[in-house]
Amino acid sequence: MAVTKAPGFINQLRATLGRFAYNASGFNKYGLMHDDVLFETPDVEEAIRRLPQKVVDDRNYRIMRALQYSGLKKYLPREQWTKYEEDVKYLQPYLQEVIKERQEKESWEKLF
Amino acid sequence: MASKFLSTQTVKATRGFAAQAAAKPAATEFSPVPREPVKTTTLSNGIVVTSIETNAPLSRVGIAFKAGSRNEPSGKEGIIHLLRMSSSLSTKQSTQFSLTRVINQAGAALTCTSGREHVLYSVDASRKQIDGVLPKLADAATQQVFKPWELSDNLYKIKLDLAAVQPETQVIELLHKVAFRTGLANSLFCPSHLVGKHTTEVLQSFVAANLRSDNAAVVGVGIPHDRLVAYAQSLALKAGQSCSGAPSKVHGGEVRVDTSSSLAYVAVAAPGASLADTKAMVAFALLQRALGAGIPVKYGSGAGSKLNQAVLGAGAVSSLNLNYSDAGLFGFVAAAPASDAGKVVSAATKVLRSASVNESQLSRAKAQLKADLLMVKENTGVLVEELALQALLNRADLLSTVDNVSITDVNAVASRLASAKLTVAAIGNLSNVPFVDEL
Repeated sequence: MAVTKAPGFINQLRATLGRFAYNASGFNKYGLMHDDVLFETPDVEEAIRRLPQKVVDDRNYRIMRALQYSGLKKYLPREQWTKYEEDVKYLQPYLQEVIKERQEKESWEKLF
Repeated sequence: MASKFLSTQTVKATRGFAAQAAAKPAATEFSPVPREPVKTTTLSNGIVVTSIETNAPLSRVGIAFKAGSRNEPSGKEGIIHLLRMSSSLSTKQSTQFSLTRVINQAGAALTCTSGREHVLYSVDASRKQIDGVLPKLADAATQQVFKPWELSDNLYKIKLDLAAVQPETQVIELLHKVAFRTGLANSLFCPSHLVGKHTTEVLQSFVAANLRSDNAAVVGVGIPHDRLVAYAQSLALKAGQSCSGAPSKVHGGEVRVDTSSSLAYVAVAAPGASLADTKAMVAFALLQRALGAGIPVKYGSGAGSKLNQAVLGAGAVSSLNLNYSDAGLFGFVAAAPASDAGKVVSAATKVLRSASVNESQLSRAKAQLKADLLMVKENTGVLVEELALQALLNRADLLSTVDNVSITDVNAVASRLASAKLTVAAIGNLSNVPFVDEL
């Protein structure tokens, strides 16, 4: 019984901790998403280049709105904060692909 | 003693070779390289596997589909040009990088050629390396994904291709456009107003609809047949036929494009033979040689060519013979300085209208046609394409038919030209080029 319960319990704990960390990080108060605030390494830049135009436009809108509110030293109204459950990691599939491609290139360069 | 020993050895050796030569079956008239015959197998999913073992150190393998620019949906012309361009892009399994590097590392070459009725992905490599690159060929031919950013990154290749299209090619494309109106009319090159308009979805739906196992052929030159059959069985292709387009009909008509060139390029054609009618096809091919297809002697005047005799060196004229599965075009292409273009086109049209051959012209045409057909078998690159077309379009091997075509057959197809409706395409400085109703 303990074995069947454990994963559920761990998942619940992970979700709780995740939500806590997400809210504590603060970017959600500006209406940003996790993938809006990644450090722009060459991999991330390449991934952003590959995004569909609609997704890029939404991303740029969120970033501009965040800059505006940051300049005003204000947060968005609370109901517009990004919720942990509503955050979409829209860049991750592209980013993983870019990283895989880079690693493939590096391993080739080592071989030949 | 030593010298005597050597001499006996030499004699023995000579006898050995002589005995071997005598034991061989009598060589046929045309077989410079010992080759095994063409072997063909049809798999249960419809893929036709054809191969010829040349015993040469180079292997060439192609995956071909009976789908070309004629299958493009209207408003989305140019897909076939993008397929050619995309043949080295990422696939479901391999990235663009690994595809290129694996091919390079093996010293191989991957190409994609296409026509109005076929697409052929082929790879050539040394016999030792071919096993390593065959999976990449399968990837390129059957696992396309067309990632949007890769398409837009490589769009410059399409623009470069379009900028490099020569007027003599353009005039043939225009001829098709006006002669067939739909289907076969579609160019092998992307129309300039549609460059960059083909989305990933458009390309994927074309591939899903047309590159299927029932209209696929796997062809090989210089590879064992059973190895190729096993390879073809491993291909992941959707079953089913591609959507066949409307049947083609040759309409008469005219198209003229003025450019700043000092020359005029003109193509004039009448309905020719389709691939279904082998005898008419060979008859037209013989008539083409009699009228003159290129100059066989370098820097020669092409004196054997009726078309060249008629234009008296005022321009270059070559006879044109195109065969498709359900239609064909026969005529000529002329290039001449603007001032002489009128004379050249009128004189060449007169030759086309009154074409006929006598016995000596026919025997010369037969010799030329046989040489041309054999030349195709000599070049393995062309041979792969030829095998693919024979497998896909049920195109017969013409060589055996050439001798069966008589002078009456050739003159019968020639007499059709006298009253046929003409199609004219012209590009360049057209100030003196006659209109279709003036020919």
